[in-house]
Amino acid sequence: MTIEDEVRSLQKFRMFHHVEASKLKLLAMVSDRITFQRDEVIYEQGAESDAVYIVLEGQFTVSLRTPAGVINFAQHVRGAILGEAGVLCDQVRMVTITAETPVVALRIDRDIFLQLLKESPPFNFAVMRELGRQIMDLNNICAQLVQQLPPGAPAVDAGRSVAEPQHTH
Amino acid sequence: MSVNFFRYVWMYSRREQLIVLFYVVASLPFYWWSLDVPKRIVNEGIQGSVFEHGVTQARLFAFTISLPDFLGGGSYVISDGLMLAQLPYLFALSLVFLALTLISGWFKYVINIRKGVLGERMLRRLRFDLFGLVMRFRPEDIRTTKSAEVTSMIKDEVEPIGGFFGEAFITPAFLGTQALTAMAFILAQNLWLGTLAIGLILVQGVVIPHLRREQIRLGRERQIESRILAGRIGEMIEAAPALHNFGVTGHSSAEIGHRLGTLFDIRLRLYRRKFAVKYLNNLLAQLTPFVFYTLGGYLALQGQLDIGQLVAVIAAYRDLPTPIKELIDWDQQRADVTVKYEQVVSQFSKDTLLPKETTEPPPVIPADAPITVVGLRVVNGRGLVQLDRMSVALDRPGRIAFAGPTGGGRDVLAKVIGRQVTDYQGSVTIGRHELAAMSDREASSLMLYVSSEPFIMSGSIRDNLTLALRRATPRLDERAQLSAKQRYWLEEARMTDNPLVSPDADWIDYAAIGVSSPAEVDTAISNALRVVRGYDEIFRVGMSSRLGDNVPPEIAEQLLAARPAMIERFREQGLAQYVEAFQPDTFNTSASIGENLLYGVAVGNRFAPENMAAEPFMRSIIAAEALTAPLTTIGIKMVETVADVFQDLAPDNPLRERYSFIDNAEIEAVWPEVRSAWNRGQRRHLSAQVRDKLIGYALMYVEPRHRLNLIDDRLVARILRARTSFRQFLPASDAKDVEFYDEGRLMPAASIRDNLIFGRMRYGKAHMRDKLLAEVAEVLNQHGLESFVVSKGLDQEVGPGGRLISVQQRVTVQLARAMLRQPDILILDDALSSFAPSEGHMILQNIMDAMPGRTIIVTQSSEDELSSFDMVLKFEGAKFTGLQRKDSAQAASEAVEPVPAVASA
Repeated sequence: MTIEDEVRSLQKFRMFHHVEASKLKLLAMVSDRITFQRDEVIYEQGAESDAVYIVLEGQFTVSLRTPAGVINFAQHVRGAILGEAGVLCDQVRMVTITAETPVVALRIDRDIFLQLLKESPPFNFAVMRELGRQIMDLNNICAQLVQQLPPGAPAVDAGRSVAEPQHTH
Repeated sequence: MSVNFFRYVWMYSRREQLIVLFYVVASLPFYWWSLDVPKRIVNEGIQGSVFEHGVTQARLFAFTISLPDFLGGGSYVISDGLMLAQLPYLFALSLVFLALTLISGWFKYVINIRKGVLGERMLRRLRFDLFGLVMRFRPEDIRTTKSAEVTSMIKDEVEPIGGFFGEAFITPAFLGTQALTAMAFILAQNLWLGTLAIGLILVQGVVIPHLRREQIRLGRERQIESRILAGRIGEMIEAAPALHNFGVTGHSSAEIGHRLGTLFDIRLRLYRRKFAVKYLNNLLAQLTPFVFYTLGGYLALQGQLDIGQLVAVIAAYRDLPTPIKELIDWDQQRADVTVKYEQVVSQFSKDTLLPKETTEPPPVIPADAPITVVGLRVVNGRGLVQLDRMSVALDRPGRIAFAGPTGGGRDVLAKVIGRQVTDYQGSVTIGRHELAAMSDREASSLMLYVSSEPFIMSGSIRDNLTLALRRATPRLDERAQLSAKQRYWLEEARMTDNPLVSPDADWIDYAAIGVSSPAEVDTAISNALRVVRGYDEIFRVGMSSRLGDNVPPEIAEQLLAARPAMIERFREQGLAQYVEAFQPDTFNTSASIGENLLYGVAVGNRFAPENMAAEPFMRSIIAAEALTAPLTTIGIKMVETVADVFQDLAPDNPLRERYSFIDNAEIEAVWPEVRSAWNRGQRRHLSAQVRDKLIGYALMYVEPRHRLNLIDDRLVARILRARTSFRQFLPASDAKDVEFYDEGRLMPAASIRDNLIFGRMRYGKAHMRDKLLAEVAEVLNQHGLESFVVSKGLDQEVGPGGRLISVQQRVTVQLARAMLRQPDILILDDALSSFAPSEGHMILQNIMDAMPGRTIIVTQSSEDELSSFDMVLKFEGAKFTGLQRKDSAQAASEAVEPVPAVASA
């Protein structure tokens, strides 16, 4: 697989529809193509956010370790950008991502990713749109979950984390 | 140090000066005779005054000593001399003249040598004294001293003073007596001519120095101006990154230019003055012979003066201006040098200096003597109160925190206790010893101050770590057999009061770190590094440092044994697929084309990656295997991609990192030509220079990294063939430039890590590098190579001021240095601020654990976790606001009470 192939793959993703080919080529050139086997961890909850991944092929699972046990809460397929929130907010990884099938991804180093955002407005815009779309999805999910709650359940609080307490490493 | 130049010289070189003076006096009779003999040659030898009246032989070399009358008169004949005819008489006299010249020359030689040696010795002493004075400056004074100025003073400004040391007493004595002898001689020949000569000389002696006064003033001005220039240049070089950052180099250049202009102006005026004086001097000197020729000639014609006398007077006078001129020169130099000396010495005399270092063991201070602060108040140079009057007793041992905002009283108190601020009111004592009055030796054996600015000197990391231990002051072995050279060194050092012990001797204080031999120092260093969490870092540095040529045989054996073990371990851990081993007949896809061609490590620059493309032998191989065209194509493709994708990016944009070997400026030069050749379909018409560049790029190409799909099987086959022929045809004389990969041999030019992995890590796996490196470390440890690797890491050069290592590594080195010393009191003044808070906290915890029963003083911000401290002093701004003890959690204000009553003024 060459950079040209990667650019073609990227062009198919919804989030990059409006990004011109030369910027996608730049993206491919400054990233590494990484493969993960089935069940291999792409990144671990609590690890440092050192890179952003764009999944080109394969499926993966998102899971969250809580004191009450592990919650697997979503499955995704290719075309997703992973870990950008942690990099943007300078936070450790919120969740663990595991490859469910063999996964091929582009790995973009943290600093390179931030530089890319500065350098290319269309790319920046694509990432923002992706984040926006995620928020809308989450709102939708929230509303559905609230519907399922029994009446009189306690209010939720964004400040309270359900994840396992952080260990300093 | 004496402010008076002559006193200083006399104090330290009396003996030598007197010896030289003795030589001077001893040379005088010969000087007189060498003036006298020419007269006799002319009068007696040539004109034959003693052969008149038919005398055919005259007596020569008759020596008679006559006693003065008051000793009873009488005379003793030493030698009757020889009776000689006129011609032998002339020859004999001429030979005497020759001998006298030789003797005078010999005297001059000896005197000059002795003077030179004396001057050099005094210069050495002076420089050492000045350096010693700087070392005794108080920390406050040191901070306001410009190092470049001090350097220029110690190095350059005292240099002319050095030349003058030998002259100080000897020259006036030598030249003065010489001039007096010559004057006496002239007077003895003819009173009139003598008086005349004296008159002219007096004029010279009065007028010239007067004219030179301005010259001296200008000289002083020049000295000060050039010192300031040196200081400013030093400052600007240090600040160069900042100047570039703000884009203000223009202004700094203008300033330097202006200073150079001032300097030029001063120098110009100096020259004008100098040559004007010289002109006048020469004129006066030439005036006298004029008078002699006319007046002397007249007297001779009149018969009042014989020709011989006139010739002798003129000869004596010819010699006379030289001493006189030199005397005047000497006087000028004297004025100049004393001014310089006083100028320099005054720069080095401060009102208060630190006490002199002693060699006697420091007084024992009980380990539990508290640090007692009474009425301490610190005001800075501008009258600003930095620490308000405070009193407190810090119990030892204990863990003490000074908590408060940065830049406030907490930092000042830490600096006072760390002896960084010695100008304070009140008193700070430990076991009744005042801190500011302690000598370095005393204080350093008790405590250690660590700031956030590490001092790293050029050398290796090990040098920097053991710096803290170099305080043993090795004793001079009196009975040791010294070679002549060593004795000479020692003797010279003794004569100038320089230290007698060589810096290369073993200065390490082994007892202080509880070891007995140099070999154990590395262990102590490792332990210290572990405490400050820097051990892994050094190990990593060691792994990636060059193996080097002088590997002990047993280590080499272990390394070779570790290679297969490494592969085995990778296999066990399921990591083998992530390393692509070097194999002689396989293309290594994770390595660049150039590496694949070379199949080895370049030793030196010849086959270094960036030079390979232009290297004639490599190029001939490339051409022979028909690789020129495919490589050029690859190069063009790379340039094309880079030009296309990176066109809008600034040349230093980090996104270019992967293709950083393709310089942006080069692209701009190469690309148009490539494109036009490409368009015309005439690839052959590229210029040789561009082709070199393109091939150079292609040699850097790594398929999985750059992913342009440029390598196919045919190319691989050709590269492998080229690899074989490269090795086959490489002239034996060039074999030293490459180390070919060989499983059974180590590669001194490669890193320890590469020696072990013997291959390249594959691309395309996240975090695999870290995992593999962890395994490498593990295998190294298993094979007992850990200490070797660490010692290699410690050999790493740090560069001037530690510029080659990261800021955190510098801090780590500084902390490890402190841990090596294990002081009774450790003061960490913001020393952990360059670490992330959690990391800093862990390091602090480790340090505390490693120092049980000792005192640690740490500056902390008020928000920090303070529960692990026995005692917390709180500060707000310059004010000490309260004290908390762990055991009795008393309210802040109460705790201040028990200390003496000056608590607030």
